[in-house]
Amino acid sequence: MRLVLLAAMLAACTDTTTPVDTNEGELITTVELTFAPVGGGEDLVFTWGDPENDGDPAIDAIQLSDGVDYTLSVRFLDELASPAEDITEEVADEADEHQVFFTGDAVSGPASSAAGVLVHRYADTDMNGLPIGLDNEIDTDGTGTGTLTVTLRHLPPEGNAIVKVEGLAETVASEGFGGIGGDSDASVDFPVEVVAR
Amino acid sequence: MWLWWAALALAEPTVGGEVVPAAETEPPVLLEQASLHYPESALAEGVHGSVTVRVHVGESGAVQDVSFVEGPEVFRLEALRAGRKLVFAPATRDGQPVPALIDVYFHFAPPEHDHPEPVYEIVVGADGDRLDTHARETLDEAVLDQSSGESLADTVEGVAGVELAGGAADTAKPIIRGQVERRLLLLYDGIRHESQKWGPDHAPEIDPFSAGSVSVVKGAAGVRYGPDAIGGVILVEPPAMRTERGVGGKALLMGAANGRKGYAALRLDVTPTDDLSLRVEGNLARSADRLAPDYVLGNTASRLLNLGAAAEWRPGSSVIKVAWRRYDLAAGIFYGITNSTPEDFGNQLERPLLADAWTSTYAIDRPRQSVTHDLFSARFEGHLGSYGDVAVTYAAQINHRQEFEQVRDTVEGPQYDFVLRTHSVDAAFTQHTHAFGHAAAEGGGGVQVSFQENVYRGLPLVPNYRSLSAGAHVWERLSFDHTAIEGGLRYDRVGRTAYLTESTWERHDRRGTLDGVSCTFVGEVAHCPRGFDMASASLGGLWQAVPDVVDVKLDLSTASRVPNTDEQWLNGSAPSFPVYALGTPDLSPETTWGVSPTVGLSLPWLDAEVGAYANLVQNYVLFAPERTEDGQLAFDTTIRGTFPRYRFDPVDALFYGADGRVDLAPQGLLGLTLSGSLVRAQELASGEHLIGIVGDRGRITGHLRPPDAGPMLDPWVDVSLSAIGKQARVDPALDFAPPPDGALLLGAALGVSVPTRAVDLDFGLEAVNLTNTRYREYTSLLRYYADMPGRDVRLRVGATF
Repeated sequence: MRLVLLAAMLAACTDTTTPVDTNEGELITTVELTFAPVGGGEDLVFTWGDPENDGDPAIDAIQLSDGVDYTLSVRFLDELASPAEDITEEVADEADEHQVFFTGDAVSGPASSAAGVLVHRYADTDMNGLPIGLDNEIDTDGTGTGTLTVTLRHLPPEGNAIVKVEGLAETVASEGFGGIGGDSDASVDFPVEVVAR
Repeated sequence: MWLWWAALALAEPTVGGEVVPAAETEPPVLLEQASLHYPESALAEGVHGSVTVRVHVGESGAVQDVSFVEGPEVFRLEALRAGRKLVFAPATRDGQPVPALIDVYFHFAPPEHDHPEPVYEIVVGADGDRLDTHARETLDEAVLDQSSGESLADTVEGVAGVELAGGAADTAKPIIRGQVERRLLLLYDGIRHESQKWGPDHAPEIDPFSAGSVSVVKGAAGVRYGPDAIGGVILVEPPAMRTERGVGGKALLMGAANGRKGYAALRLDVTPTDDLSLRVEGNLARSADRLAPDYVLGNTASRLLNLGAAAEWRPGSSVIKVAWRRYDLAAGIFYGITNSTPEDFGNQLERPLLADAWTSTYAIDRPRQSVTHDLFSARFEGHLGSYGDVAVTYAAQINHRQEFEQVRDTVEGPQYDFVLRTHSVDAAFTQHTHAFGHAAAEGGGGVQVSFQENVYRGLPLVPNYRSLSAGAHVWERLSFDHTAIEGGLRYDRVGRTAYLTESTWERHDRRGTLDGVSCTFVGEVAHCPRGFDMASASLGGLWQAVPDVVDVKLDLSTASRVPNTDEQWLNGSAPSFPVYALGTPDLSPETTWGVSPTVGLSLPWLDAEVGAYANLVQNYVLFAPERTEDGQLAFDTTIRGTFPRYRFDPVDALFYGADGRVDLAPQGLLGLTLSGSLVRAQELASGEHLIGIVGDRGRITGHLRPPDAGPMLDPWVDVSLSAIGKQARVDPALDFAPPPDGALLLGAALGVSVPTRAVDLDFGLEAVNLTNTRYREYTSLLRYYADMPGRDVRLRVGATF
């Protein structure tokens, strides 16, 4: 029996004792928002990052100025990869299967009927003419605070059923994310404060 | 059913009877014993031995044919010879003689000085279930054929006290008396099945077509079968290898309407010489997306291939068998199961959002799972002189599971990839029966050693590990005229080292889950060893209160289980459950203390077995939401949203209940079977009912057994009504959704055999959920997401040759 056991030990592979972190590139650890004042001025960059992907995130508070209109571009990063990987390009390539939604009590717009301090409009479209949400316009609407939730929804077709269709943002506004298909690759909350200029 | 009693007393030969394929006929009656000669070749060692042969008794009562079923090889020829010399009164149906098959059991004992003649005993229709002190039920090949093309769990669901934990596609896991698969042990050909059995969509990778019988042992049975068997055991035994020269086999075809499923299976047994038997077998099943009553269950298509080969060589009185099996499953995971936040999750509870858009196809899309399981085994069985028989088995198993999420097109490959490699050596010794006056003693023991390693790659979930385990057991059984006592002891030691990447170790460390575990770093890898010591014991008794009519069993058992890797180390979001789960590395083994009485009743018009049980489980690992010190639910904020945090916490729990079956007029033209089960499970300290425990069940089945008509033998028709009770005892605050309502399901089945000169044909037609009733199963993975599959009609044709 000792011989057999020895054989079993010899058959053991070293891959057991040398674990590696792999994530097949699907992971997102960081959401980065860049607010650029339309009239010119310095870009404001805010991130929601959980670079260890352990549920212990570092979250920037968004501070914007009342009466200023911004363009908002969104980036998604995998900071567990070394060097950090920009997932945004992949999202753009598969824009017909992705959409970014802006919800929460800080924002009013297609996906949110709240009376928030921010007003959101989509500024990009995919190959089917539907919004993506990587490029956006944000106007401020008075001073105050609130929460902005940024959600990247992956909406791949299910068999023959097309999941990314027209009016998803409006459905989210009325029914929440349970009213649309797909699932969330990212869904993060930012605290928002709009201050007087 | 006739009772057969355990006592191997050296009394007059006794005869009972059970007709193997045609239960409604009166069995043949043994008129004349044959003289049995103790083989000279066995004299030197003077061994005892028990042999079962199957005798074909013709209409005249003459023996037409005898085949060997099981027993030591040294007695095989003598048993076959003696079987041919037996004289019977033929089996009868409605007073008319009919041919029948009957099992005959010989016991060989060496001649002694004061008994110059060999002593033997013939018993017809031995029933192993009656000998087990546990509640136990065995499904024979005829029953297994009726569920051909279904999973192992579906196959055993008909046993009272066994329920299903349905998966997303054509996958299901068994539950015995409320205990889920991680607390059960599955043995294939005596080999522990080693797989990732902890996951909710991980069905056991065992092929029911490769089984000659499947036995369900209810309750803790750790002594004989090893750790993990704290809730019960499922024993899958392949059919005996063909020992007569020639070629035989079996073919099955099945088609099912729901999912347009097709299934084909073939087994070929070739015996070129008296001492060599060969077998090849395989089957293939393919199913499209299945249908709930109101919609297609999108992406539940599946494809399953099973292959097997075995060779048995019988030199002298030894047996050497080598075998290989492969299981290869590809199955979609229902589109509706998404790992969404609790808010999203709540919105789709009533009906899947895209239910109207799905169509049923054979395509298997992401999310999907792909699983292979390879089993290689080599076994030696031989005699140790007059002491007993020994069997040594080596087995190697490789279980490879890959799960593919819906991901961006640029991402290839699986998101979860598990490889589990297991090598095991089992050595078992069975002592020959020794008789002392009216008592007989038999017993045995064994040692098991196994080495296992788990390699995981993918999104953070569980670490790699390596484990070495060793166990030893002994058992002894004393049989008297109308009673038997069996006791056993077992000890197991399991050492397991988990290997964590630095980042995984840091994640655990930050959460404070490494208390009580000492890890040391070797390079950048944390080695986290744990050792577990476990003792098991059992004491059981059988009492034939009214001989051949009433028997009573009592089992007292304790058994332990080592925590699974997910219970210790899970750190992440489960792929099919909207929670963030954290393992508890310093969990202790779970230990069950159980008592289970069983009563059997056997009369010509009534056959019944009813059992009750109470199991105290110490350190029962409860998967439940974590609460903060002020009693609020704890949440984890991840980049995918905010999820409730679940923990694996040890609690003391009490499981109790009853299950059973009553057959009215089991041989009659019209018969009725009632079966049912009740399970209660409570946390001892709080008295709260545990989540996830099956509701009450009941089933009533009417049987019609019309007489043979022309070439059609043994026609039968069954109509059944199953009641699924609502699980209404659990605190709703512990769950994401209220438990589903109960349901009544109507089913029907019919079958007939048509023997021809070349092959025996067998036809069956079965319909389940005839009324296409919408319902949800509390223990099914689909429960939160969709209705169970609706009506299905299955047609099967089998041929035995």
